[in-house]
Amino acid sequence: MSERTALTLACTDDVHLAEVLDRAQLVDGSRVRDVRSSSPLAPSLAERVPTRIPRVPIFAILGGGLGGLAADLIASLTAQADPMITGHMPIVAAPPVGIITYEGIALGAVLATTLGVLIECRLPSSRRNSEVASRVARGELVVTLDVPANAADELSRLAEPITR
Amino acid sequence: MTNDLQERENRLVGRLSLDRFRPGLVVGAGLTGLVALVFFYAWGIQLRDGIGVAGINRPVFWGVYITTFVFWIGISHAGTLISAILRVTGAEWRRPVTRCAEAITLFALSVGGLFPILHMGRAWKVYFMLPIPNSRGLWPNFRSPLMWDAAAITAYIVGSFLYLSLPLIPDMAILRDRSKGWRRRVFGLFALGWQGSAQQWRSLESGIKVMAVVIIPLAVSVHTIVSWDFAMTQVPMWTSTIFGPYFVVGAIYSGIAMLMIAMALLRWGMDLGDYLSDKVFNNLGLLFCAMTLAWGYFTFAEHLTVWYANEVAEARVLWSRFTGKWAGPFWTMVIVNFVIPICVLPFRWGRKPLPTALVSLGVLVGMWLERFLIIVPSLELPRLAYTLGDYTPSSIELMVLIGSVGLFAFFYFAFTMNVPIISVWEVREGWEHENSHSGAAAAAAAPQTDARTPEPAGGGS
Amino acid sequence: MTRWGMVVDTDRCTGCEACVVACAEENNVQTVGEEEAKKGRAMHWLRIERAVEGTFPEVSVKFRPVMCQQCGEAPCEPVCPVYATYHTDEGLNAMVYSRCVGTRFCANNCPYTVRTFNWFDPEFPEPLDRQLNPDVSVRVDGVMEKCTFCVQRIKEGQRTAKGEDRDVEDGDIQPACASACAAQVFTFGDLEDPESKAAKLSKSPRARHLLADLGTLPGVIYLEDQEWNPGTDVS
Repeated sequence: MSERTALTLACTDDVHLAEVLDRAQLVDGSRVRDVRSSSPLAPSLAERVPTRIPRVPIFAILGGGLGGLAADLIASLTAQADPMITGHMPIVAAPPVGIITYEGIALGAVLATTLGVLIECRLPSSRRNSEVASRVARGELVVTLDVPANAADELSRLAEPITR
Repeated sequence: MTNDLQERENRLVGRLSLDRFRPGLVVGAGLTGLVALVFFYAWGIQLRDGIGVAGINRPVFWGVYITTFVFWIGISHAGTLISAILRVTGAEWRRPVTRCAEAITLFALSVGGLFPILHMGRAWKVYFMLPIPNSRGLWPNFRSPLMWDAAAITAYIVGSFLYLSLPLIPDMAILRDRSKGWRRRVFGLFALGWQGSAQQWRSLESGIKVMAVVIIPLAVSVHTIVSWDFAMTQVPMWTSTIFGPYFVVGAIYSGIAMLMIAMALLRWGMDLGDYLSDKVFNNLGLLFCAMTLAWGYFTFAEHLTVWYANEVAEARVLWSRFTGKWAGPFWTMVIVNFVIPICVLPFRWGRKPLPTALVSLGVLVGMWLERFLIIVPSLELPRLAYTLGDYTPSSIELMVLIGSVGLFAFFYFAFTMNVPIISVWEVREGWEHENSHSGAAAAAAAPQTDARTPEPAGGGS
Repeated sequence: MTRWGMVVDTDRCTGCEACVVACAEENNVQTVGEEEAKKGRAMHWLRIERAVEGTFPEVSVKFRPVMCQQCGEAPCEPVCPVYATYHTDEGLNAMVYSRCVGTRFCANNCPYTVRTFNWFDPEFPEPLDRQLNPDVSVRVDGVMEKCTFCVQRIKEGQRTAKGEDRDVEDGDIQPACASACAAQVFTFGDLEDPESKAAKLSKSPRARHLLADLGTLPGVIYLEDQEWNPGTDVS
C-alpha cells in the first residue's frame, strides 16, 4: 500500500475549498480530515467534512436529569429533616418542590451543555499552530487531507500547502 | 469572495476598536463608575445605621428596593428574547444584536441580584438561605417564594453567563489571532485554545442551540417566580392569577426598551450603523410594538376585572391608583408605557433609532413606575383599614436606585471596551449565508476551473 | 392537645390602652420616638382600633384590641425563607428572632397587619434599661416581631406546674394584656380544653373571628355585638 501523508492546504474561500475537495475526492484513498475556519462552513461544505454527531444534547438531558433530581432531593429531604408546620401546607409541599426541581433541571442542563461543548471541542487546549492560526484569522480555510503520498504533489498545486 | 468577506470582517473588528484607546468609552466608564459608587455608599450607610434609613414603614414593608429588584430582573429578559428566541426561530437579522443583548441580561441580573440582599434587615445573615448543613441544624424553607427566587435567579444568572460565554470563544480566537503581545496572550487565555475545526464548530453550534432551547423556559420561569413574590400573598390586588404572564410580558417589554437604548448608543458612539442597521431597528421596533400591545392588554384586563368585581379591599387600592394619591404616577405610566409607544412605533419613521431610543427611555420609566404602583398602593391599604400606610421614598433609596443604573452602565461600558460587543463570527456566518444564497447558484453553474485563475465570472456579490 | 387562644370582649373595652403599655413593658418593645412614629414605625404589638359612630351629641366609640391572631393556617408562615416563623404544636405562631433575616415578607402577608419590624437598633437610655424584662430578649435592628401570647409566661406556667407535679390549670397563665386589663376584656386559655373559660366564651353567640372569610383560622375570638366591617371603616 502506498504511504499516506497528511497534507494541509490553505484555500482562499468557499469556492476554492469546494474545488480542492472535488479534486481530492477523485484521488483514490484520500480522506478529508479537517477544515479550520474563522466562522462555520456553509452547510453544503460542512457535510463534506466528516464530523461526529455532537453528543451535546445527551449531556444536556443527563445534566437536566441529575440537576432536577438533586434539586428535588434538596427541597423534599431538607423539609423532612426538620419538619416545621407553616400555614396550611404539608411538610413536603408539591408545588414548591416542583418549582425547585424545575430550576434544578434548567441549571443542570445548562452546566452539562457547557461541559459537553468543552469536552467535545477538547477545550481548553494548549495546541499552538501559529501559521495555521494566522491564515485562519486572515479568513482562509485550512483543509487537512489524508492522501496517498504520490497524490500529494498534484493536490499541492491546487492551493498553498502549509508545512505543519 | 473571501477578500470581500475578510475586508468586511476587518472593518467590523476595526470599529469595535478593542485594540485602541477610546476616550469616549473610558470617560463613560469613569462617569458611570462614579455613579455606581453612590450605590455602594448608600448601601454602606444603610448597613451602618440600620434599614430604617430607607423610607419603608409599617404597613409598607416593601418599597423602592423591591421595585428596583423586579425592574432589573425584568430588563434581563432582553438577551433571552433576542438571542434565544430569535435563534430558535432562525431569524437572521438577530446576528449583530445577540451579544449586546446577552450582555444586558448578564449585567441586569448581576445588579438586580444584589437587591434581595440589600433589602434584607440583616443582610449579613443572608447565608441562612443556603441549603448547606450548618451548626444550627436548620434548612431554608423552600415553601417560600423567596427561595424560589433564589433558585431561579441562580439558575438564570449561571445560564446567561454561560450562554454569553460559549459563543464568545470563537470571537476570542479571532481577536487572539489578530493581536500581538500581551493582548494576544489575554485573548488566547479566554479563547481556550479554540482551533476553529469543523468538529468544534458543529459541537459549539449544537451546544448553543441546546442552550437557547433551555434558556427560554428558564427565563419565563424566573420572572413568573418573581411575580409570585406578590401573587402568592393575600394582599389586595396582589393575589392576581394573571401576574405570571403579566410580569413576563412586562419584562420582555422593558428588556427590549433597554436593548434599543443600548443599540442606539452603540450605533452612535462606535459608528456601528452598518451592523446595527435600520433594518435591525425596524424589526426590533415591530417586536417592541407587539409588546406594547401585549402589556397594554394585560394592564387593561387587570384593572377592568378589579373595577368590575368591586371587592371592597381591592377597589380601595384601584381607586388610589386611578384618582387617589397615586393618580399622577399611574397616568404618567399609562402615557409613557402605552400612549406614546402606540403613537410612535406602528409607523416606519417611529422605528428609526432616535425615536425608538426616546420611546424606550419612557418605557423604562413607565415599567419602573408600573412595578412601584403594583407594590406600594396595595401595601398602603391593608385589609384592616385602621393601619393605613403612607410611603415616601427616602434619599438613600433614591441613591441606591440611581446608583444601580450607574452600576449597570459601568459594567456595560467595561464590557464594550474589552469584549467584542458584536459577535464577529456570527455576523460573518450571516454574510456567508447571504453570499451563498446569491452566489451559490451562479458558482454551481460556472464550469470547474483551475483554482489558480482569478475569481470565476458571475460569482457572488 | 393544647391550643392556646384568647377571647377578646370588645363590648367591655374602654380604650384605656393599659394592655398596650403592659405588653410593651413585658416584652421589651422599643419606643421609637416621635419622628419615627410619624413615619408609621411605631412598634406596638397590640393596638386599639377605634370606630366612631354617630354625630355629636349622640356619639359612641367602639374599641377593639388587635394583636397577632395566632392563626391556625397563618399566611405569614410559609413565606419566610428561613423558618423564622412557624407553627408550634401548641397552636402558637412562633417568632424566632435569632433566625429572622429581615426580608419582611411575613409582614406583607399578614392580613391583620400585626407584625412590627425593628428599623433601627433599640435604645433604652438609663434608667429605662433597668426595667427590661430578663425573660425576654431585646431584638436588634432588622428583626421582625409580634405578639407571642407572652410565650415566656406560658413557659413559666408550664414549668411551675411541672415542678409542682400537676397539670397547668386554667387561669394559671395570664399574658401581660390580660393581667393589666381593668375591664376583663381578655380571657386567655386552652381552646381545646372544654372546661376552660376561654373555650366556653368562644361558644358565645357574639363570638366571631376577624376577617373570617380569609380562612386563616385565628386563635383570637372577638365577642362583638355587631361585626364591624373593617373594609368600610376608613376614617
